[in-house]
Amino acid sequence: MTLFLIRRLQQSIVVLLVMSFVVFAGVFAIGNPIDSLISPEATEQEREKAISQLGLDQPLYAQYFVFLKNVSRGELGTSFVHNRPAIKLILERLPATLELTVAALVFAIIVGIPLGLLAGLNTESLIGRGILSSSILFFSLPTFWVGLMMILLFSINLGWLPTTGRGETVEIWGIHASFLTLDGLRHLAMPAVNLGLYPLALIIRLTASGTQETIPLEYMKLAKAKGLRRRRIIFIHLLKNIMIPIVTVIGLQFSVILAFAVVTESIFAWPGMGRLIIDSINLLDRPVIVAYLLVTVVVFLIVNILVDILYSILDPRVRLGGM
Amino acid sequence: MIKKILTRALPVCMVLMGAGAAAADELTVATPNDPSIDPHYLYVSTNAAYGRHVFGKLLDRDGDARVKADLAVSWKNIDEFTWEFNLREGVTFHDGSTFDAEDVIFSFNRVPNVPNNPASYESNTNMIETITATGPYTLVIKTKNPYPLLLRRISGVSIVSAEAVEGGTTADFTSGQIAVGTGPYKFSAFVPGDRYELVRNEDYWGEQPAYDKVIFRIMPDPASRMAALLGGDVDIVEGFSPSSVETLEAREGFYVAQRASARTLWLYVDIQNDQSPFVTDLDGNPMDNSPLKDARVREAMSIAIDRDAIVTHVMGGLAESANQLVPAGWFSHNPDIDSISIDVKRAKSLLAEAGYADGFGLTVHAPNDRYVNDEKIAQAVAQMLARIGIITQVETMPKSVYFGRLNRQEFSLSMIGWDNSLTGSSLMSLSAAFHTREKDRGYGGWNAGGYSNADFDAAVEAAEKEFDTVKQEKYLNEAMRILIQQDRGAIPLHSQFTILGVRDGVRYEPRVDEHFSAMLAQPSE
Amino acid sequence: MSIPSVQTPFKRFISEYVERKTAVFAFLLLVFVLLTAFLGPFLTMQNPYDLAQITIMESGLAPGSESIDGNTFWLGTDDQGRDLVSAIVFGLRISIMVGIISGVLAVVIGTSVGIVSAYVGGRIDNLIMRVVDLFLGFPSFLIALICLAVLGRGADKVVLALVLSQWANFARIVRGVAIAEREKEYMDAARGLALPKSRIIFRHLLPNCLAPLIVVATMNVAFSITLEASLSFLGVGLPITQPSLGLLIANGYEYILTGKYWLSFYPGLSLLITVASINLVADRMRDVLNPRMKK
Repeated sequence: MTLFLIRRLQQSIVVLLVMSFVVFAGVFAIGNPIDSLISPEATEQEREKAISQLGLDQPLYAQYFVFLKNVSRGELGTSFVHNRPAIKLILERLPATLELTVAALVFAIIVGIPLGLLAGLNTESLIGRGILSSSILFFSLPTFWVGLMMILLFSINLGWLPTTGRGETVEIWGIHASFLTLDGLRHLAMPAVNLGLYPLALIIRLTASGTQETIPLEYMKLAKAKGLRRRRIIFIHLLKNIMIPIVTVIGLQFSVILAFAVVTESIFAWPGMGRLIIDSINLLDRPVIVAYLLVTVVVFLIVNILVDILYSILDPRVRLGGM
Repeated sequence: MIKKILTRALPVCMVLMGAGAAAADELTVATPNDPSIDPHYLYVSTNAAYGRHVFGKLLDRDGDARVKADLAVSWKNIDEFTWEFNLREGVTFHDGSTFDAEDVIFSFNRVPNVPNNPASYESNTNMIETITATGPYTLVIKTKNPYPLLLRRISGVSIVSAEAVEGGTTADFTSGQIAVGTGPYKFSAFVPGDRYELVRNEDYWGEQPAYDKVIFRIMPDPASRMAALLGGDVDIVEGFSPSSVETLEAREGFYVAQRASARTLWLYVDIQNDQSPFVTDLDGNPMDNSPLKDARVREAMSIAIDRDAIVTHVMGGLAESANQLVPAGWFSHNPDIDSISIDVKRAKSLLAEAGYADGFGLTVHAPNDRYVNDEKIAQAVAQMLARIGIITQVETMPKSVYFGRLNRQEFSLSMIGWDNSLTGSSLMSLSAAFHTREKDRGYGGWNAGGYSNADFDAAVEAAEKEFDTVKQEKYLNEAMRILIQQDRGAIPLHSQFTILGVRDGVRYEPRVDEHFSAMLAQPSE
Repeated sequence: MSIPSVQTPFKRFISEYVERKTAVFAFLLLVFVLLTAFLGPFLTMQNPYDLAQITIMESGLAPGSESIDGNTFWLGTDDQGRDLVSAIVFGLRISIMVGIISGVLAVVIGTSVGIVSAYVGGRIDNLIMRVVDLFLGFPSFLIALICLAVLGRGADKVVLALVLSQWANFARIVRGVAIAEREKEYMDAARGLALPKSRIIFRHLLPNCLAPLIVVATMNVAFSITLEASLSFLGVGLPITQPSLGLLIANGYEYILTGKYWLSFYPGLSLLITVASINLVADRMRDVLNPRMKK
């Protein structure tokens, strides 16, 4: 287990180093943040002063070297735009994004697995085929378009839910969370569903095809022959069997959804890190971009490890060391 | 389908308004802008607007961009270099400490020394040689050169409490710890990327603002801001899109607050380069002798542009077509400059006269996140130039990329919008954007067209030193005439409006400099 | 399947495919969409990418309005005065082309890398897989977003960004499949004949992985189209004077609350039809090709 962790960690550090250099070089190539921020009243001299103060007049390798030196001391640099440590900016907004992502996945699981089971057990019926076809529709819908349609319908037409924002939050262990208050939940509902449509489609399809594939297997027939109740067969034997691919896919999808949160956050004015990254890309705020990538990779890593652990619980044949 | 939803939405909205509207003592504003709480960090106009709520200045600019007294009650020129200010007595900061001359000196000294500041406020202080206190409530400022603009310049310097801020950082402001000023509102809470909350300063020395509490909701997407307004979640929308104006005005329960702003958009033309980077012949090959150097071609381009059509169809009527670089009715607006009206026939014959009867190829560059409808305006301009045979491509980019390239003179035809409210005249735009580039003297820092004319430069420099406003206006009018009428060194487009979407029940008068100010909002009735 | 069949595999595929009416309908829809995209541009009333042919005087007109020269804008015009029918047809072509080129290219590159990696093995395999891990360490959407922020706008750049962000996924999948195939008997036979490596890969290994790859590639075309639309929405992607469907929706997005619903509604509908029909066809193809699903 520890060996496995260390290997994963090593890989990720290499990934980060390479990626940070690529981002560094990329952002260096497009321009510098001074140009977009400085007021037109500033003279040429003031501009040069600002550029040298931020070290942006140095050649690329020198800037990267300074960056590495700072990293070795545990610093990722200070945001050019906010003049605060970049990592702090990201971590401040991480909980909001994680909350949204997890809520989206929870929605997808709660709705997706029953629908998938229903579809898988009734492949030839109208319901089953309807569910499967509409799941393809969910796949195909552009997120941003659906987002605004939802606002139009649920906020402006029906007046059920607030349009945007995060609502009232409760602090637990120093982190603000929306899902513990009614107001927060009402704010969370639409963005979570919006973001959850894609994984929902995925889970429906996975569950359905898993069910279809499992039902004809010998042990299922055995269970039926033993006279076990249908409900027991479905919920214990079947579900346990199809959970493995579902858990894998959810793990893989987690980072995809985390990234797609950028779109949802910008529509619903959700104060997560997705919006910060868009702003930072637009303003070429390099330290924040690098810090964001770092955090994403770490989250990705943690999720992967969690998935592997879950795996070994669901399927005792899997040993963590041997991956 | 949507039409149906919208029509059905109307009554629901009105019900919502009645039930869900915020209490009259609270104002919620949807804004696209993330604030900097440190008033000396990141000099962009939106931060200046936020700063006005919490911090006082020696002098401020009112909604019409006139200088008005704030923490200084009176001032006078002792000579061309020396200014004396009498400060307001009995003013306290939000933390209870007393305001005096030391705070002013501390603030002026802090401005150029905020670390890691990509956009310093020091263009407001760097003309100052010394600033000294002659008593607890009297100050003397000496400038390096005669500088008539000083009074307008120092309105860009927020006064912070020396005791509170000494040794503090920008991060300490962001956390609210040292965000204490003398302004009408006090810092209450700030969640970056989400909201900024202010409460009324009950000890404010001046007129009390109408609302007890102001909440800025930070929402970069214009459609989301509009949705929040219609959904009853906010009272005012800043940065309202002209495309939504018609809809909002047709709705019961809302109105659009608008005002002609001090920002004028124009096109730089590359006058300097023989081989202009984005000029090609009709086959797409670079041209050795750029047609843009010919004033007749530039005139043809100018009269090919139907400004009224842009105003009506792109700006939704919320702009005013321009024939020079300051809006009509402003100080230094030259009434003798002819208005420009579209004349495709004459434009074509001018092109033919210049030897380009078949036209040529060109690219117009513009930002896509800076001015109202910047991207759409660029496309409209390209359409109109295409009509006289100048086959025009459009390339737009985020402002972070755009302005750097603009400044390096990488474009042939490029858009800019200049806010004239700082000087209240054409002075700033003429000296920064058209004076010959002279780095050491601080001229021509934004001269992206490479325009250079000695007579023009002389007129601008004379205006800058002139204390007599009548004479100053004469110089500026002369400079504008040379630039626009004689040399056709820039193509004016229009002056944009400040547009806000407002819920009935709130009265708001926009400022001419496009700054949002909660002090200008009050409950109606 | 136990009954001996004289049908060729392709005919068998067709006859099984048409068993589902929805799938047939989706296929016809897809054919229609493709025809529109590739023949439509010759039939529209204007070329919406030629700025001299459009005028802002006709911007934002409602569906059914008449143009100055007497034509009818059946779906209205956009904010620059483009006829929306023409804009959708041209946009469809760009979207589909970007989707097909980048979707297929990503699959082809990923497949080649994956198969070579699996077959060559050893150090090279290890190195290639490290590079693949590097790309998989980040969500594809983010890679594309940052690529485009660096590269700027343009159809070629969007294709590059989409390929860069997706190829690694396929390399990983294909490598797994290929390793499994490598151990199978027919490969032993091929090796026993001492055939050259390239021949083994291309004549034996690849054809055996082909069926699932076609399905994956088809679905990936749909995903690429959606991805491109999302990127355009965020302001990176295709040039504004040559709007794809995604860009048309994004442009119309700000009008969605203003009653000018057609600006993003019809492009949105076209996108939905396109992507859904591709997905439905791919889905049925997978069902037919997947041996485990057959009873």
